[in-house]
Amino acid sequence: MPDFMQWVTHGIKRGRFEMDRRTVLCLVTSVIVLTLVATFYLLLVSRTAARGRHIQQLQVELFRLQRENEQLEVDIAREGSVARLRERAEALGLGPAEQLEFLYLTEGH
Amino acid sequence: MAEGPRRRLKLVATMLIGLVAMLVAQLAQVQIVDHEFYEGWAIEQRERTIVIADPPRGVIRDRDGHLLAGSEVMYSIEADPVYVVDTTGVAVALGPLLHMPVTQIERWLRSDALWVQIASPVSKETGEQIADLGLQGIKVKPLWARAYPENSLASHVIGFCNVQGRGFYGVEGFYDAELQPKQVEYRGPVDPASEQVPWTVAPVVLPKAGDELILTLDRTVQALVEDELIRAVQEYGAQGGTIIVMDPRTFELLAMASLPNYDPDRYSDFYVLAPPPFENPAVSKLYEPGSVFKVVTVAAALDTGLVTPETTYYDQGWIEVGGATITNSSGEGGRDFTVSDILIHSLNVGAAWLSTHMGPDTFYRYVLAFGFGRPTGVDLAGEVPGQVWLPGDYVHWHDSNRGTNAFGQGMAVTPLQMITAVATVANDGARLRPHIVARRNTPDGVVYTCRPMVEAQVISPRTAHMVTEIMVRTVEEHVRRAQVAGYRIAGKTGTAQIPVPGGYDKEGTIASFIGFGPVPDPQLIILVKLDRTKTSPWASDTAVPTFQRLASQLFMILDIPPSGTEVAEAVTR
Repeated sequence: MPDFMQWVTHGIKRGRFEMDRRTVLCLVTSVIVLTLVATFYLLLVSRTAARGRHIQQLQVELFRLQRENEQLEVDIAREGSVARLRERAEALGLGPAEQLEFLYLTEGH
Repeated sequence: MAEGPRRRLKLVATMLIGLVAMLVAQLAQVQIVDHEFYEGWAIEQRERTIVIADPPRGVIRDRDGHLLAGSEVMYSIEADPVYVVDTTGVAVALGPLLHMPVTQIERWLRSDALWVQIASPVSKETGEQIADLGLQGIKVKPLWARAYPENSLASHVIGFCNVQGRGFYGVEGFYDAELQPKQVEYRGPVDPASEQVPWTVAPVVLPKAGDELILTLDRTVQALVEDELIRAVQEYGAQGGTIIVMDPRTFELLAMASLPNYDPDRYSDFYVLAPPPFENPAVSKLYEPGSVFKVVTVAAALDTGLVTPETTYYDQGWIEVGGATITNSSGEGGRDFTVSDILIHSLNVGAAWLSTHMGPDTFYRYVLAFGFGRPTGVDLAGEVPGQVWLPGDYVHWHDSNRGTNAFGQGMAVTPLQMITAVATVANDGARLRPHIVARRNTPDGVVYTCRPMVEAQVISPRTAHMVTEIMVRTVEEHVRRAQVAGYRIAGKTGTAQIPVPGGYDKEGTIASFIGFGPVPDPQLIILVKLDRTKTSPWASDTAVPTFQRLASQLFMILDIPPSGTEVAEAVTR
């Protein structure tokens, strides 16, 4: 490789690399701006990911609560089912009403 | 610069430019020409559509909001064998909890499969116990399972939902599409285990359960009806039976029960029965209605104006129609009877005389108008239209049908069609569409209310009142066992023969009674139908006492005051 480079460059006059202050300033400013933009982008992306994760967790929690809620409703319904209520009423010595008495309206009432 | 180096420099520069040009060309090929292909490929590799929420199926409640069908949590135990480190330890931990051999689980966990389902569904308690163990490579995935807290109560009305979440029979079958939940899907980057990767803020989608159905059914009434049906079947040795309770003002079904029934929570256990008891006999099973059908014949004749309740005819005890000889089952005859007597004494000859007097066109026009020969349109799965042969049907029609149909023979109806027809009389002659769902609530808050739908004004209110009065007399003079103290009851019995190949069953009958009250403002109509009763073939001995017991209790629990009274308050003792 050095031979090849020598073959390419021999006979070419080497020039001195010089930059004026203005160019340097432009370059430094560009680097700073790029760094800031990159930092801001990274910050945004990481915040987005964190927010996304948080929402995901909230959704998981929401679904869990929905499952709990549905399960509780079924459990309550089982406890209050006709068969269960009848069992409990019978255990308390209660029974169906055998006769209904209607009170007739009279004048003055 | 010397000429030699310049040439060499140009050569190298040309080579480099050529190389760069090739790279740029390739880049252009990939980025521009084949852009869509590579983009799709990339998306395919990292993005997928997954279900992130599987909301529950819609619930079913009775008219007071009591839960009749809901969803409970079960779990599926799954494994990613690649991620399971301690195979033996995991198998030993899972085996006793799942009541499975440890060796079997270990074999699955050592397999090359990417995913293995170890057990599904497992109970909530077991699933949570396994989740608490925090086993690496084991997933505890929640599932929904349909739950019926009232067990077999109203099983034919509700139907059942299978493990795949599809509804069958009853309301579950009829409203399956509305009860289905709306799954929440996510399209985006996923990890190798198909879990959502939160690279972006995904839109928040709330899980939406299926629609909520509020039935017209009253679970207390349903429980009472089922108790009475069980009692009747046992007491009278019936093979089965059906009871329907309806509000004749709105045609709302308050209760509908048939035996044999089943527990929808354990529907798979009933598949072994022949036939499985899933079909709702109230809407799917046909029977010859017998004398109850005379209500339709008499109503039609009165509505045409050809006769009045007082019109007399001479009943010689038999009549020949289309080559068939029709007799009165009671043996009565040899004297004059009125049209009212046709219902009161349940006279087959009189009914046949009325239908022939009207002529087939008029008679069958009324039969169809009362809703026979076509489904009532009730919102229950599996309703059948029944069988009514019309004079134009040269294959099935026989001229004797003109006479036999008049007293409910030679035709087949469903119990719901029969009660709907009699409810039409109770409702001033207007036939509404019977319905079981009162309201449907969507998860978006939209409420669909099912209002009474008038199908036809079959007979005039005046005719309806005349028929009602005759039916009241029928109960008061001939079917006294149907009376409920304080309430005017209108009703009609039916003892029908059961058709078998080659004729009618010599022994079995179908005993039925339809009654409504309190007249003049009927709020309840009840059909009692008992199949092949052993203690007595007659409806007056079986279906009627059942009706009486049931009506007495229902008037009480539904706070229906006695006929013609103003009630301040009711006291139970």
